This record gives sequence, structure tokens and C-alpha cells, in this order.
Amino acid sequence: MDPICILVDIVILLIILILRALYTNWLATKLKWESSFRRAFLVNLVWVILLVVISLIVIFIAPPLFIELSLTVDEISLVYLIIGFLIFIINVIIGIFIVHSFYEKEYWGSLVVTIIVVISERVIMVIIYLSIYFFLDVWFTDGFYLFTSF
Amino acid sequence: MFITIYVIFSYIILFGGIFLTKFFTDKFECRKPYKTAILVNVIWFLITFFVISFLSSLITGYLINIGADLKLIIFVNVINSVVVLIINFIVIALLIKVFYKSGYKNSIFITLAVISIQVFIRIIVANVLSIIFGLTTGGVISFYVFQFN
Repeated sequence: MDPICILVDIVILLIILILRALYTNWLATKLKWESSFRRAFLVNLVWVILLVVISLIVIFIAPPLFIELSLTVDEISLVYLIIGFLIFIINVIIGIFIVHSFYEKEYWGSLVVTIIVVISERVIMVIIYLSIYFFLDVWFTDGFYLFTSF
Repeated sequence: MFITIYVIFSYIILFGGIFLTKFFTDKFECRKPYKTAILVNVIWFLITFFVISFLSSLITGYLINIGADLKLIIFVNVINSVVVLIINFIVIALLIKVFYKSGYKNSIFITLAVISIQVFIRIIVANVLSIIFGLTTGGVISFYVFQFN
């Protein structure tokens, strides 16, 4: 993987972590939960670390496996689509459990907070990635964060 | 056929917004009958369908007519769908504010919840359909999950 891509991903990851913490804190406050920036930051730190680990496992295991199985380009695209979708679902499930365990609140509230965070983040990431692609002609989607596509 | 199924699901999800609006407004103690939720969602649908969709297709049509670069058309299309999502957000937030007489922050939260859950379900439907399409035909199909119609 290109070192510049890794560096950009780390910087993006840190910014995302802080923004996610602020956002989660606001959402929790709106739901009248007992919340602080520290707690929201911890929620997102655990959540993001788990996501990065899962993404890294896929990034390092999948390509050699594809070569070994000698899959065609179409088959690889389909497998990536399935993996991406599974990670998306896993992301939400992990989010629900982390939010639930840190805030000790009901599952429906955790589900709502998780979905709002995930979808809002996706919208922003799509805009950022597209802008980078359009203005700098660089495609950063092979980063280790937000591996899932849609 | 897959696109038709997706469009049908999109409308079901869109009008599922009635139940979501009712659920979240109730949670924020802005209790109103289902009639209000239906009214909010119908007005929202009419605005998105007749105004926003028209403007989006106008922009895309214009770019194709002037023979714009393919990269620009793709970029504008995706940005367009995100802008449509943001406009949708503003429209429903204002509608909730007006019809439920809730505070700005509560309207924003209810809107975020309603739209995020709808987009989340659309992503699931789009991905499942894409996977089924890929498995059955071996081809690739893309859906715009942010667009509402």
C-alpha cells in the first residue's frame, strides 16, 4: 500500500474520531442520555479500532486468497461487494453493542444513534472522497478505514 | 427487473417514513395523530418528486447537452444525489418544525433519525439486489442509495 495513502488515512481517521465523538455526544444528549465528550470519544475509539482491525484483516487476507483461487475480475468484484456489505452490517452491529454497553441504554436508542452516525459519516466521506478525486485526481478508497463501499 | 424492484422498495421505504416520523415525534413528546405524519410525508414526497427530481434531471441533461467531460458528469451526479439528500433533510426538518411545533434541534434530530434509517434500509436493499444480480447474471449493477426517487 502507498505510504501517502496510509498517512492520509491516519490523518482522516483522527479527524473522524474527534468529529464522531462530538456528534455522538450531541446525539446522546438529544436522547436525554448521560453523556460527555470523553465517553463519546471512548465509544468511537473502540468502535473505530474494531473496524480498522476487521478492514485490515480483509485487506491483507483477501488479495492473496483471490490469487490462490485464481478468481476472475468479475468474481473478485462480486466477492468484494459481499464482503463490503457484510462489513457494513458488522459495523452497525458492533456500533449498537458498543453504544449500548457504554451508555447502558435501551437497544432501539443505540440502534438509532449507530445508524445516524454511520449514515452521516458515509455522506460526508462520499463528498470528501469525490472532491479529492475530482480536484486532485487521486482515489483514496483503498484505505484501511471505511473499507466498505455502497 | 432489478431496478423496478429497487424503485418499488424505495417507495415503500419512503412512505415507511410515516411510521418513523410518528415514532420519533412521539419519543420527543410531540404527540400528534397519524394524519399529521401522513401530511408531512406526502408534502415531502411531492416536493422531492416534482421539484428536486426535476432540477436534478435538468442539470444532468444540460451537462450531457453541452458535451461535458464524463468525469464531470459522474462527479456532478453523485454530488447531485448528496445535495438532494441535504435538501430533503432541510425540507423535512422544516415540515416537522411547522407541523409538530418542535424546537429546531429536536426537528434536526428527528429528521436525522428518519432519513438515516431510510438510507440504511435502502443500502441493505440495494446491496442485497446487487449481490443477487451478480450471483444470477455475473454482471454488475449500481444503485443510487442517496436519491429518493
